[in-house]
Amino acid sequence: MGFYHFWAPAAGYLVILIQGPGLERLLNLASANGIYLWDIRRHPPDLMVAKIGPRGYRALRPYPRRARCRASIRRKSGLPFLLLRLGRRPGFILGFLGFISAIAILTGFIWRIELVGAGSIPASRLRRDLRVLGLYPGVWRGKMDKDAIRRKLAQLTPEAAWIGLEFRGVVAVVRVVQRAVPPPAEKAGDLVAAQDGLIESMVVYRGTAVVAEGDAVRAGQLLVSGREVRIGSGGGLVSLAVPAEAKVRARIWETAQAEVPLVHWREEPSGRRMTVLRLRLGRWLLDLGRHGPPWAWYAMTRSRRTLLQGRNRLPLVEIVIDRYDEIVLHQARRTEAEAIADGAEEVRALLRARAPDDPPAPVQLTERREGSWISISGSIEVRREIAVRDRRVIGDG
Amino acid sequence: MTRRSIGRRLVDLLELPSDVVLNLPRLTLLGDGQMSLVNHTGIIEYGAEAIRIGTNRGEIRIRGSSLTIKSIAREELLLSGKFTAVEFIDWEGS
Repeated sequence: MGFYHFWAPAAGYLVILIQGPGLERLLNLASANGIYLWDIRRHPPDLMVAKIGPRGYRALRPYPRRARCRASIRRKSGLPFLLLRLGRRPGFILGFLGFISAIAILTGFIWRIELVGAGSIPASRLRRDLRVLGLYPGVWRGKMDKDAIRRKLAQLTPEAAWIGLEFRGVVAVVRVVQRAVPPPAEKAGDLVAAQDGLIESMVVYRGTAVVAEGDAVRAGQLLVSGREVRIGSGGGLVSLAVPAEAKVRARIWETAQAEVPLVHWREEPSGRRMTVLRLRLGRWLLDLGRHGPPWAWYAMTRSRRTLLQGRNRLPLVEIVIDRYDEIVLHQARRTEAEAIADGAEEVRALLRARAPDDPPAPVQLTERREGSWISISGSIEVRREIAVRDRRVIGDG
Repeated sequence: MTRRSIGRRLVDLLELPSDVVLNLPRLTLLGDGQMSLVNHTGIIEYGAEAIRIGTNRGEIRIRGSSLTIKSIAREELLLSGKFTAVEFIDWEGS
């Protein structure tokens, strides 16, 4: 009886209110008669709240009068009372059972397929194959043969070394381990020059050199042949096709040219400005007041004030403010020295763009006057690897 | 020599549990928040700041705050709260 309060929530218990001057006497009468009470709280002056089992309450009935107290039930708690209350509401019980049944049934379906580690294997193809094998969102998983699906999917997916299938609740997790494919064997071929140049050094690892150090070569010219002559097993000479490999370093001259007019047009702001406001409503742009500027040449800067952002990245309603500055074109004249300096700068920039990875080298410039234009030519010398694989594949001969 | 002191001597001599043989109250304190009392004879006074409990050797008065009777059975009483003092009143020597 002493541990009744541990299983009281399952067995049911009463919260009782005892009132009267002989509260202590009632406690003593109860304990002397084997009636177990717990969580007894005293509220002055003569009120007490306690918990008691239903049988204990029946046994307690004669004693409050003897102790000059009154006992009344304040609350009935625990599972039996809860079931009793629910029993009076069949709709609630039916709803509850329906809910549990719905959960039980719905969790019997597969609602999502998760692909893990598919890598370069297209997920759409895996999903299509799974559908053919009978695994797709919305399928009943009751008697599904996971092992058979996994095996057949592995047969349909040669790129996969291993496939695993696991059901986690309503999610089917398909784990794919991709097969490690060795890199394709290098095909036999020649090495040709990528650019015009003068060969400075040459080391051939495979193949037969066709040119030598000091030779000037053109772009596309054969440098190393993908054929090697060896002594065959019969003692005779055999020509074998191999992937040619070599390091061919060459001196290369990069050139660039710029033409600078002595007379040119220069843009200058006139100082006249105007602002045009526009209202953008979704896709429509409405002019508010003035339209565009009346000038032929102008520079425009646009700013926006969002009034309503909306859910998409593009605001829903906004004010577009376009500021126009009129531009006037003035004819300007350069001196020959200015034109040469401008042209040299342009040529240097072009050469830098053509040889971005090469170490900086001195630029050789030459200038020539052609009527009202100055033509500037420049070149730099760089050293580069020029051997590249010829796309043609050669076979054994 | 009284009957009780003979019993006491016997218990000491034979090393018997005195709470069982002499029906002495057994008081167990867990920190200052829980107390168990076995062999009580009843509650004399119950309040949130003081509880007086009767035993066959005298009265035990517990003082503190938020004192609550966690459970009461024929022999055992469990108390909780914050105890500040335990007093033995009109206690018979054993």
